Amino acid sequence: MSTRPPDRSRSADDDLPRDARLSQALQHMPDAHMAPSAQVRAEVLRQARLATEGSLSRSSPLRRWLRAQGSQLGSGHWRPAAALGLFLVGALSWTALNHRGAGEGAEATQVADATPARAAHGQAQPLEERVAAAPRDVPTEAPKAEQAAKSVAAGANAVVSQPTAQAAVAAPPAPPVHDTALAKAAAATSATPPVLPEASVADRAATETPVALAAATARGGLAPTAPAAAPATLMRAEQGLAPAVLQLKVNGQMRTLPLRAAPAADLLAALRQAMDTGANAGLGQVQTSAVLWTVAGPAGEAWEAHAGLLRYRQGPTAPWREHPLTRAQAAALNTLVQQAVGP
Amino acid sequence: MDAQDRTDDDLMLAFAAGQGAAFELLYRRHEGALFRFVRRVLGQALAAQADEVFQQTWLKIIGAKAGYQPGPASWKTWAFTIAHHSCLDVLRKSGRELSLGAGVDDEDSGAADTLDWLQAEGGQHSPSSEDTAHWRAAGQQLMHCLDQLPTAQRVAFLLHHEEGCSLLDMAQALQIAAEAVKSRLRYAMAKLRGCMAPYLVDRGLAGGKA
Repeated sequence: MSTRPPDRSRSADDDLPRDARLSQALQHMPDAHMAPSAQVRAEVLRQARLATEGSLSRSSPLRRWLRAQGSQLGSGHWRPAAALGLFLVGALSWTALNHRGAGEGAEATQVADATPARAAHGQAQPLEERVAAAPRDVPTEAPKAEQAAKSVAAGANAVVSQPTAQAAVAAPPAPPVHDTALAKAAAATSATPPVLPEASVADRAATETPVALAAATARGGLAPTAPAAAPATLMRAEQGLAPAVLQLKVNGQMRTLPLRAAPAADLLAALRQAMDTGANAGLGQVQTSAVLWTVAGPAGEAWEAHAGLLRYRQGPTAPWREHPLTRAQAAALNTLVQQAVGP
Repeated sequence: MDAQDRTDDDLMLAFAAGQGAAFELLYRRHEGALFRFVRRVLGQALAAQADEVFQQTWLKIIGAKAGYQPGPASWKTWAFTIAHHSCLDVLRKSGRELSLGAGVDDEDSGAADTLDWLQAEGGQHSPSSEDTAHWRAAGQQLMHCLDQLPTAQRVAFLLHHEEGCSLLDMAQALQIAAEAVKSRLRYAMAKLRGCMAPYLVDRGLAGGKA
């Protein structure tokens, strides 16, 4: 074996052509055009997306609101779930009271006026009282809710504003899905919601289409203390319209809740729109414990909201599809969920 | 400003501010170069771990987004430094970095024998009469040559000649003196010139040798 050291006798000028060829050889190395595997690329981008959404969700308005609510209930990671549960129990009680009809209208109005303010300002009655009060209302209304849920499930697209069988004949067809529901909701969250006069809501509810009724109710429902929301609900009760029903999974427990018609329409439209605009399959498994809420659609479809992620499947046996949510989308959807549950 | 025109620093800061699209652009921009760098620093023996190290590098970049501040060195240098450290971890665990890294800056210690062997091996490769075949063989030979360089010299060569990092950037990234960087580069180039000799001379001359 020869032991020839590197030749140092050549000048720098002599090395230039050789270095140029060396650079050329560098470009012709077998791995010059190699790239990481698709799985690695997908994983890196997924981690980046999770990191982005995670940092955003920590500062999102909903999260701040939940943290504020949760601070009165305890500590730890159960606070947001507990706050959401409290919110839903309150909404359930309020909705059930409203369903008692016109004969108890004064009482329902009083409750409806008081509950939203408590829920919005975190000054609700003690948790024990609320939990104890809920069973008084739920059993009497639950059958109605389940019955309404079945009637909704029977319809293909008539998801919301589903009247009773008696009223359904005269009711116009279900409104088409809003393509701009997410944008509307996002705009609504950043704008000061107008408080409609009672007469205005009542007139619209009596004369306009379900779409207009939905929009009017949604606008009124945005304000946590808006007094117009309760009369609108009463109007529907007096007209014999049953509320729309969806299922919400809260903290692992499936609850069947009667939802307010207009926000439910917007919610489903927004959910469908979000999945139609770029759902991806097989981006990774999501921990089920991280589910924020679940919406079960009338045709068996389901949406699961996670931090920064929305999952969707067409039926119980269908595979999940995942779609990352931007901050605006997540905030808009959470707003719609709140609206759909009630003020 | 068009997203494509944004600097790497801008994109990283935008990513830290919550813009996921900025990261995707950043990733697309440097995916290939960073992967090649990782693969070449690891060498043929550890090429199978390139994917893993590459992923670790990007995860470290993602994890560092909150504290990222543009400095005198470019984002690219910063990212390649992370990749370099990730590679060194793997090389240390495998024992390869220690054996080859010994005498990194000692020009004549042991490496000469390796170089001579490579030169002898290189002389056995006859360049093809066609350019494509010639350069394909040159590229293959360069991969072998790089693989035989001490890690520190290999990193210096790749950062400077493949990625275009300046000496000052490299000195800052590698946390060594600029003179040490120049020294590593000089040794690397000298060895590579010797190792690649059959492919670096004039084509006619090379063919004559062959």
